[in-house]
Amino acid sequence: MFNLYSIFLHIIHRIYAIYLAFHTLWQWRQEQRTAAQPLVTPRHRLPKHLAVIFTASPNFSKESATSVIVQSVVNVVQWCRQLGVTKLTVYEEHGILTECEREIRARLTPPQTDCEVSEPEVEYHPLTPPPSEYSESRPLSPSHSPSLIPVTTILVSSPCKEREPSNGLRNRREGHENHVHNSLQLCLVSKNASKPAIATIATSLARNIVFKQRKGSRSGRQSSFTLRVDELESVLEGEDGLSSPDFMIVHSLDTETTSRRAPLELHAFPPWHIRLTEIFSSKIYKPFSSRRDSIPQPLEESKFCQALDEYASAEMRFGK
Amino acid sequence: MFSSFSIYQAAIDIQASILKQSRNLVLDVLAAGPIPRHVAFVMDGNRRYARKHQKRVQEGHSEGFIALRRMLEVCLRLNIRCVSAYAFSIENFKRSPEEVDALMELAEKKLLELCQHGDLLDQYGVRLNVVGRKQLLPERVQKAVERAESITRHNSKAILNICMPYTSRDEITTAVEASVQNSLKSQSKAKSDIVITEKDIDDNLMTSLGGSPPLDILVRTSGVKRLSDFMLWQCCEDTQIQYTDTYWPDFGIFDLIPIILDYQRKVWRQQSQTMSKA
Repeated sequence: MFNLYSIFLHIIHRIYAIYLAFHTLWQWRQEQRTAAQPLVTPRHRLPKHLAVIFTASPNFSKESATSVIVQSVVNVVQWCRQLGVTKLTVYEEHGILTECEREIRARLTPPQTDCEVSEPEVEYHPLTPPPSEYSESRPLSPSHSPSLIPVTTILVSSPCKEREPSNGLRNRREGHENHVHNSLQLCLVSKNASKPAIATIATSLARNIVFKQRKGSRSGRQSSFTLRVDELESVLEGEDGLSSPDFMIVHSLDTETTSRRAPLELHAFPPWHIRLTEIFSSKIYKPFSSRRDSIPQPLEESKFCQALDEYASAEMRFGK
Repeated sequence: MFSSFSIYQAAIDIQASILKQSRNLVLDVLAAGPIPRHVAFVMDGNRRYARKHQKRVQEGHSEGFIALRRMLEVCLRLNIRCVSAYAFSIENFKRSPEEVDALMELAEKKLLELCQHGDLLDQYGVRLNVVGRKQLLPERVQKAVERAESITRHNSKAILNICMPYTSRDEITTAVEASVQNSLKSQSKAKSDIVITEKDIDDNLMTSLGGSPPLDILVRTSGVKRLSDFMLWQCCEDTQIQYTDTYWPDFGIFDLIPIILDYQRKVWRQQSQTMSKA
């Protein structure tokens, strides 16, 4: 009986594969026909903080995947700066981004320096900060805690373009807004900033208490440890480090052929920060390509615009 | 002797029986392949369903509960050992007091109904866990929760997690707190070498404490494409996240079949990749 059911199951899977093939074809044709709105169309809503996850199957060579990812990051930075997105977090599970951080920085600095790229503020985390840094009164001091999450931050900005101040104050203010409008904080993140970072923070909280108990402070000795959500939030999220994105694009470097169609997965992106994030799955549909000629696909502008269109139409309720 | 009504009734019964048998056949065929251990549902869309059908919001939630029962039976028949459902978020307390009260009343009534002798949980040997910050619930609901959990505590074939009132951040914070407390209580001498690992935090999550296996599939209904503070820790690695436009009260076996097929494709793909490497 079991074998009979297995046969039926394989038949069902064949039918499903045919259905998926048609669906892939249909989706590809839809994309050919209906173009997304161009990049700088005014949209109902834009994300202030955008995250992009790059995923690649092991089929690709590391060099080809890296070059496509770097190119995509540079493109996304340009698009975000045009739109006025102020923060961009880019994630790749295995740390490729941190490895090619130099290359990204170099690519973001055009030959004539009309665009300033700051020295990257690389925040590494020691396994535990030395106990003497802790203040006695609070178990958590937010000032140094963001350094417990490994994030590479690059500030991309244009210096103030020197305008002729004809109208005095008003023009100077406009010039300043122009400068602020174009700057973008780029964060490069890998799996280390995800669950391991939360574990590191827990470890340092525990060791801090041990330290306080050793020093014999009154607060450390008697009360049992409690932690509130907002306390943990203040440690995990920071303006300069990792914060919660409004919108996330999960871009797969693989083409979506019928055999490889798969639902969305998050590849260990930091869990705390995706509480209310709208998620868009970016896939390139190529119904007729074979498995052999697999080239990593960069994130294209049309797909990016499609994602923004979808974000603009999302309904947000916040629990109500 | 036979009234036309009783013939009509018999026909309906036969039709229902045939449908049920065919449904069971499809489920048994699916169960011949790999089956996920843990599936989570975000039961979204009750209110929009009610508005669409010109019903009151409370009726939408009641229909949502019926859908939950239906899906639970389908999952149990498929041998899915653990099902989680997002019933109520801590953020939902912000809703109108009438709606919150109606939901609490529904919860109290239905929890006890589910656990009755002969009902679904008893039939399939399902242990009920109510996951979340239960202290926020009204007294009466807390009592119903305790009673429901104690009735089903001895069951061991499957687990049903009803997440109310739940947010994932609250769960993660509680797990971190518990990990720290446990590490401080441990008797090892070298306390300055305490290390808390991902696994420690994972083991202290409310779902893990209830015995739930890792999450394989998360289903979000009603076309919304975000996680809304549900099982963030559990689903951020290799859980398949499935979106469907169907409202939760309309969700049924035909919506679940492609989800299971996708999971089976993933497992088989991984198996063939491991075999080709070996």
